Amino acid sequence: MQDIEKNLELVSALADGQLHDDEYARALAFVNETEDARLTWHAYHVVGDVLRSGTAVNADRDAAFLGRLRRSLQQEAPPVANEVTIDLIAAHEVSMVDRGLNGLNEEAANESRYRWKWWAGLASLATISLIGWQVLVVGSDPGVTPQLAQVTPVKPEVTSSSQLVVSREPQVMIRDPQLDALLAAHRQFGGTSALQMPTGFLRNATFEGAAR
Amino acid sequence: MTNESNLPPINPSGAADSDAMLVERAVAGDQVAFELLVIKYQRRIQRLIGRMVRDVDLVEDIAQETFIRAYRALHQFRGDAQFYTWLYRIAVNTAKKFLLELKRDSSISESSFKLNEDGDETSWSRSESMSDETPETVLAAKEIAIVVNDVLNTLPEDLRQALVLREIDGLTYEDIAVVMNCPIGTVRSRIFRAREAISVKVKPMLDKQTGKRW
Repeated sequence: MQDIEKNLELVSALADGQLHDDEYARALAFVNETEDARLTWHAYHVVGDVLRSGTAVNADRDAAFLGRLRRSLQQEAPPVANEVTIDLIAAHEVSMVDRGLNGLNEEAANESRYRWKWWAGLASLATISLIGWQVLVVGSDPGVTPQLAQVTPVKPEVTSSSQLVVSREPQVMIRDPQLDALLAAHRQFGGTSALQMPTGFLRNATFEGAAR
Repeated sequence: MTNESNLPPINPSGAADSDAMLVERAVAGDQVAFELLVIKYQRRIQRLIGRMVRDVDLVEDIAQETFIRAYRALHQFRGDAQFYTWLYRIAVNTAKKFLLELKRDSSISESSFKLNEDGDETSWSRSESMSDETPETVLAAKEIAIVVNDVLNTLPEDLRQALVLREIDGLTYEDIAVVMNCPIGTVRSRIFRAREAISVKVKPMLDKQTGKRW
């Protein structure tokens, strides 16, 4: 009985943050083992809340609240496990760095992406080199003319002697003697072009009649 | 019954040390240590959230989430701030996140919200009560308050004074020993006896919910 009272006094001091070392460990052990000690802890804090606030404190749902929270916490990893996880991750990172420094190459997770890019770059370089080489070879050999993008001049075909052929040379008019004779005979129907050359077709016509 | 102006700091001296030690234990894998922190702060956290949300079920959900988040992040608590300050920020952030999510849900009525950005717990209006509080719960809370104050007034003067100096004025055992001119061990004993005298009457009122394990 006296032990229980001593332990409850420890719980009271624990609530005030006044315990250290052995007494602290004993108080926590007592609270861990005894449900009544936890109820006492609750009662002490409810009393404190009432005294501090000077008003009613609703505490009838506290046990249900804790029970529900306890069930939720059972699904959680303990907080200490988080630190262990962090330590494990850190250790893994350190070992990765060590392996890198030691020249032991291990394929990265995104290695395939960089491999693809490396091959694409290589293909581009090869294409550019090929084009450059062709340009250099063609440019250095005067006997070979570049074939691409060259327009072959097409000679106009002369199918009849009556057509005019225009060239860069001084113009030579091919005249039809029969037409010239005809035009001379019918001078009033013949016209001259701006170039003072017969146009070969009726430019204008006048009619000379007696009335004029 | 005490006056509002006499309210002590949120964490009386010594409590911060106690909390830090409990956190240390919880991080070391002692879940009961974390539960002691929950029992200590759950009413204060629920009252804080109750200022932001009317629906008592929502208040409880947010309080649950607050403690779960605190548990997950417990190893990050370094003791630079008081544990309650740290928990307070988690509670406010959790409540804001909940409210933002619920506001997107048009089926939740606007009356469920009463977001107050200042988050100042001390400005909580006592006349306000949560919508789901039943007359029974209100009555039970009042009964507890009456019993606590009645028993306090019947205590011997040295016990009553020791408890008031500790709980209301927030003095350390050393300071109380100086004020009462007695050894620290006597202070500890007087505070314990005063608490026990009150809690003997209060425990049956807290233990009404049969089947609930502490």
